[in-house]
Amino acid sequence: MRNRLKIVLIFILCVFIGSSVIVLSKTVKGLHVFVSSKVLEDYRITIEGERKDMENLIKQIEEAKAQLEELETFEAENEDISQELEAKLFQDLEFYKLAAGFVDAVGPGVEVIVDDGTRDIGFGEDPNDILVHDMDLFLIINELKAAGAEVISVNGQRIVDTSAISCSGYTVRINGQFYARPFIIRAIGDGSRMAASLIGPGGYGNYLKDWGLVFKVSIRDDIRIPAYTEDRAPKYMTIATDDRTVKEGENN
Amino acid sequence: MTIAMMIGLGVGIFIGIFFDVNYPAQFSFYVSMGLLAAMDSLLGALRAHLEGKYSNIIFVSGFLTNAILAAALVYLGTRLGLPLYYAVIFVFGGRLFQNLAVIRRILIDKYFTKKDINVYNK
Repeated sequence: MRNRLKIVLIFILCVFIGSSVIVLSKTVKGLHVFVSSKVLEDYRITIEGERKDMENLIKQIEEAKAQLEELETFEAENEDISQELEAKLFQDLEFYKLAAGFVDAVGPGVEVIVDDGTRDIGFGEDPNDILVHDMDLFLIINELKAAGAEVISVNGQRIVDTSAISCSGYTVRINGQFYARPFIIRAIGDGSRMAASLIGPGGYGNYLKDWGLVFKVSIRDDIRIPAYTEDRAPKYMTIATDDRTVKEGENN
Repeated sequence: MTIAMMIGLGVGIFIGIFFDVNYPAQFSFYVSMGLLAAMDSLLGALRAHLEGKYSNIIFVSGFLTNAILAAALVYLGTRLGLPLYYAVIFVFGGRLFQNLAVIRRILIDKYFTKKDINVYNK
């Protein structure tokens, strides 16, 4: 009895060894090569990026499916769907208007006032040191965007995707209009976060204050940002009609 | 005993070749560690058998704990980024050679020098 159990156990073990040797040799093709941890990390990051892309695609598919289902239920209920579709289209239109800057926007946010410094300039010091430059506005706007600003205006000029800020002597040209100091930048978004990113340690506001400029940030609940008023009819671009996707690095 | 081993290996190779057994690629380390533990246990059992000290419970428990420890070391190594599986390979590999050396000596004593050192000898 004891002997038989022994033989059975040895038999099972040998079956395991034989099968796993064969399975391993079938699965593993070639030798394992040494991979440095940096390469591994690179691969990991790439894989994560791809996975995120995949998740986004899946989400898009799900959204499209939900939309399709919605439309199908409209159809199935056999109602007069034109009104609802119209309402939906108008809803979309409202959103695009808001995003593109064709309507006024209101919401909580911050108001930043930047002005030339009032301190006496030192002997031989460049007066540019205490003046507000286009670059300062540029960097403040960038920091606000980085801190989650949804919409920004400078002296009542809405900053849209084609907005440019350029220096023109003692004035600054924004969206083709000239503005002089003081500059009032308003942004809608997470007010405390945006304010912290400007006047926190290492923030650009602190830097300007150190130079002697006037820099004030106030968090407000009722920021109103006017619509973009300039002409923005596109002259060169048209809508792409084919649904070819442009890959990264491809020069279309 | 030897016949059981031969037949077992034959059946295992047959299963491996003719049945499409598959496992995820990330478990190949675990399978190889399990294989090493199994080979070590097999040679250990053979040695104990020849020495007349074989015991089923020691055999089974030794194989299981060795395999579990090997798998745990591999898992910990992948978690920590340390090649801990080297420990498994070195220990089991070393023991394979050691067991084989003992088995060789026993067989030589038994069949060539005819020196009977074994009480169990039947």
